[in-house]
Amino acid sequence: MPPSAQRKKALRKPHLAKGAPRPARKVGASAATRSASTPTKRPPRAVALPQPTRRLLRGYAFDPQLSTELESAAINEIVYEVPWEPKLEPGPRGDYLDVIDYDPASGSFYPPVDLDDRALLAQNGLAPSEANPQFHQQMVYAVAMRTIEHFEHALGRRVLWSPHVRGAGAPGYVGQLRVYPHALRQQNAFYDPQRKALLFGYFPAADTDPGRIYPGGTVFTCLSQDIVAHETTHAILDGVHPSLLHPSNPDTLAFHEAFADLVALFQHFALPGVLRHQVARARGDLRTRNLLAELAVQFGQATGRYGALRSAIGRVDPTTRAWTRLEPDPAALMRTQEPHERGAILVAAVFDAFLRIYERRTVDLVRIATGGSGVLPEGALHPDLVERLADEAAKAAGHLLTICVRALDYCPPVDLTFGDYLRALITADIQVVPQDRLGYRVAIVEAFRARGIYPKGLRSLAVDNLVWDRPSAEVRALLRKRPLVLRPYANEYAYLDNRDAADPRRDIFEHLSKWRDELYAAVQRLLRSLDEAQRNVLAEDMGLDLRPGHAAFEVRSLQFTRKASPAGPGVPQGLVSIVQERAAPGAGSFLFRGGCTIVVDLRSGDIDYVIRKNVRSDARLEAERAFRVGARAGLAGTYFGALNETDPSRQLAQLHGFNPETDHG
Amino acid sequence: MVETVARKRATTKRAAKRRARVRIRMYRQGIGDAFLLSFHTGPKPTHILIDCGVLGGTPDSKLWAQRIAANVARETGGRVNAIVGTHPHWDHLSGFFDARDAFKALRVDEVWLSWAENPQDPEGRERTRETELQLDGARRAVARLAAAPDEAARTRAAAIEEILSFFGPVSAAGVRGTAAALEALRELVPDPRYCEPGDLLTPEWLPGVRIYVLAPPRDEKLLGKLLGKKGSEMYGLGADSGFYAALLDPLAASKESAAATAARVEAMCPFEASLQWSDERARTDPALAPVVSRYRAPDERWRAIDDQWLLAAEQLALKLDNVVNNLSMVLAFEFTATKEVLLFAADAQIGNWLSWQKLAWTLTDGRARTSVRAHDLLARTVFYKVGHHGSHNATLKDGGLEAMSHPGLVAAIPVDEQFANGTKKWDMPAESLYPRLLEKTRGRVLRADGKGPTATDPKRRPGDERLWKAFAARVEVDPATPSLYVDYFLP
Repeated sequence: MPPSAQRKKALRKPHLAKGAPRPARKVGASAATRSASTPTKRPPRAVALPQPTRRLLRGYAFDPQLSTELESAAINEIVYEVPWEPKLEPGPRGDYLDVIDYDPASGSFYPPVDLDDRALLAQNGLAPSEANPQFHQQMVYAVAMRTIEHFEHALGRRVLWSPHVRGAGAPGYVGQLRVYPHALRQQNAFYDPQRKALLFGYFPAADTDPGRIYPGGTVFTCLSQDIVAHETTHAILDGVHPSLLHPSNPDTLAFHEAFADLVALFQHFALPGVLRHQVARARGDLRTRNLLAELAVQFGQATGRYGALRSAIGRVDPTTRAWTRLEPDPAALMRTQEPHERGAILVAAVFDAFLRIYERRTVDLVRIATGGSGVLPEGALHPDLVERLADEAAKAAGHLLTICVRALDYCPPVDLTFGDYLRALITADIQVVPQDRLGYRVAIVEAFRARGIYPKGLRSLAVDNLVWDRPSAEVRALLRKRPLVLRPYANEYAYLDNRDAADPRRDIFEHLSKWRDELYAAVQRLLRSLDEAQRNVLAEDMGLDLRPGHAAFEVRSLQFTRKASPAGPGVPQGLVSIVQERAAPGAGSFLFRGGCTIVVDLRSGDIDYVIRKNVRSDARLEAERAFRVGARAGLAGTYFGALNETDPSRQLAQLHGFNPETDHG
Repeated sequence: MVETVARKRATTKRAAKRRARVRIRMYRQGIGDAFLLSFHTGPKPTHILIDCGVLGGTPDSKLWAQRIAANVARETGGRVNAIVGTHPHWDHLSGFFDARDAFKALRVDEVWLSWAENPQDPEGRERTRETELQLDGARRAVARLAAAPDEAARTRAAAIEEILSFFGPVSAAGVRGTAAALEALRELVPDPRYCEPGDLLTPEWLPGVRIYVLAPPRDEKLLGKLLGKKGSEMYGLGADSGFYAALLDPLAASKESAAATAARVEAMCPFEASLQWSDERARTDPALAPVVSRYRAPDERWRAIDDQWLLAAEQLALKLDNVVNNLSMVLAFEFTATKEVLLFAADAQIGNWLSWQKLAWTLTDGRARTSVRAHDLLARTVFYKVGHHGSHNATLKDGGLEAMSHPGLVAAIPVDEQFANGTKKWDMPAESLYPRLLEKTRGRVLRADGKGPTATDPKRRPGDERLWKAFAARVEVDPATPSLYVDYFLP
């Protein structure tokens, strides 16, 4: 059947409510096909059943350990709601994920769970259990799908995994991220960018704290919502910004870590039961120690670290085991080059911004509840107040997570620093919420400033100063005459995104790749039409080197997005990033990259922002050189530094592993 | 004219030699330590040999060991007052094994080792046992990785093996090289001396010199921090880990019975046996067959993870290297008259350096009592044997190198940069350390590979021609081919 006919038939389908997150279409489509071949004899049709939109799956809210403690057991076993995938095979294997439970160290496969089994559909999947590998498969699937959904919601487009690069051939489409729940026998879990896979480890618990952890009992990293969300985020982030896995400054890998932690943290706030419980327990004050702000509790304790693996707001003293709140230290960022430690500073900054916003959102509630005094009485809070506080916390956390994800679209294509990310956050938010009534942006800037996170070379940290630069007047004039035409692509993209295809993500991937080539040709044409002076002006604005005999550049990515907000449907934007590389000669030669992300308003065709990293900047080149020298420091750097530069696939694995510098004095 | 300059230079060199209180001979085998200290503070010269090792993979490594041993015999007249074995790494001890006959023929009065090598010491024994088992695990993992179909995995295996080469080759009987070398060294004397941190050695045969033992630390807590807690399985890769169990072959059990090994392997499987499906069994099962065929599909090979778990050996190898380096014995030789210090840091990593800061010695001279601390010794250091062949993590910056404030500081690095960077792909000497070392010593760096600053080197700090001349007069390089050593004469 020609596509147009299919489209017409598809329109007749009654059940496709707009806005429903991609319901099952297979049934409808096959019915349409049947009826097309026998138009006269339409079989009598029963009332069309609405397809499910959500799949409910039981799981741990945190990790199995919290189910063994009376205090948290009641809230730890929850039901995750994930998007309904109509074609979910045993594994589970759906559109986004392929869970393969192979355990090479044990030489064993574990039978796949079939979540479409009637028995499981009727009881929200398997009950949480450490002893049943099929529950493990269900848990990783549920948490990873949920993470993906949060991303798609915030980013306003579908998640695509980073492509499979095969030698000199065109990068291949990767439909499903592989998930191996029992891949390793060690205290580690990581995203493998080469295999497009998540590898989770398991290990016997240490006997340092037998009071809480069953010594010698097995700890499964795939049963921790935090660890699964963290690793899934690494994979998603690699799809959005592959350059972040080619570290060029101390912030790039640290950002990967921090971002993955933030997503895992903010997802705690989307679990209503857990949230109410913890808000009640903390009496509304989320700056005190609580489970919401801690990551991977069981993992931390099982490896003898007492507290959680990481906490956004406090630390447990290893000797006294007392918890203390962390005060921001503006000099901390200068002192450390280690990705986890730097990442922790960024996590603390964003989480602090969240707390400020939460407090601002709830100060009136507390005043109302206390007759204006603002001082809560002793004892438990009224359940209604808890409910309302929890609502506000969930809202604030959701907003922050969304802002953090959206900011990814406003990052430079290479060499991201924390300072750049701050500018991206502000730029992202200002477009969605022009009037900052609740002071989100000020809260973010304040929290970052308190931790010494600044962009370089700005005159002030005023919010309007932090928004990325608009292109210069000359460039705007120049491009108004010879615009980069993106609208036809955007229209086709919207069509691809919404039509009823077997594999819409593959279509999108393949079209984007074709369009990037066309766009490259368009940029070349544009450059040829300019005289030298005009080219120089453009080059300066875009951070490129366009002098005669310049190095080749490439259109690295093309994206379309429309970010909805409370104020409206949002501005449709096209995002184009152009990257150029040049050889950095001298000691320890390397390829130095620069370029820009161009944000185009699709309605007017005007360029909103140019976010650049100048490829001609010698200062940046020398900074990267110094960073590369530093990256070879330390025992791991001494032995593996050179190898990692040619084969970066183990970077994330090593990042989570043994590090003599930070682990052992 | 030229002749006079040459003669004059020769005269100053002779004078420097004549006045020298100690001649420090650094052998030039490549990566590996061997230092012969010949003191002229008493009526007769006395000799201390610190380490004698050549890293595995060095061309002619055995021949080098024999050359060094022969030279030691000649220089000392066949009598060495003391031999120091700093830590059990092949690049520090191989010579005692590879040239064991030559060493046996010497008269060796004393052998000094750290407490960690004392077979009677429970702590040391425990650490050694743990190291043995972890090493066994790492070796088994590397052997399996080396046979992997995935080329990247094989490259990684080779890199891990390079680190394990610090433990020397394993003999057919399964004895690892460093253990054998350590034993050969111990056997040179009836009763080796096992040193403790804080010891002060003042041998009668070495008047005018005090020897401070700075490390390895003894403190349980600190060791736990440095090496990982005893018994607990840091990083889950030790003897009682699932990682190790999975590498054991119940059919080829060695130290324990086959049944015990099988039980250990079984206990570490995450689920009960009925839930485990081997490839063959899984392929015939209708539910599992699609998963297996997906996983084993030829065009999906690139996503397979069969060997990925073995790469944990990377961490294990790093940890093992770190542990043994941190158990380095560090010695400071102090001349009582001038208070100048020679510092031999072996391969001590940062944690080991930090442990010295807590030490204090009280010296009594008649009624006067003075206290000496590590930073005093650092401030008076005039000769620094750079830790771990100049790698980044083996020289503490603040409170270490920065505290070495003596204007006459000279550094010696037993390194072969080309071999380290080219063959081993290691960053030695570290780009992050070496420039600062040149600054601190004003260019007075001796390197085994001869690539240190030379008279014509523009990198040498300008404006100190006089200093440089004085330094050059104290240095003598073996003119033979291959050049066996470089000497430094300290007046």
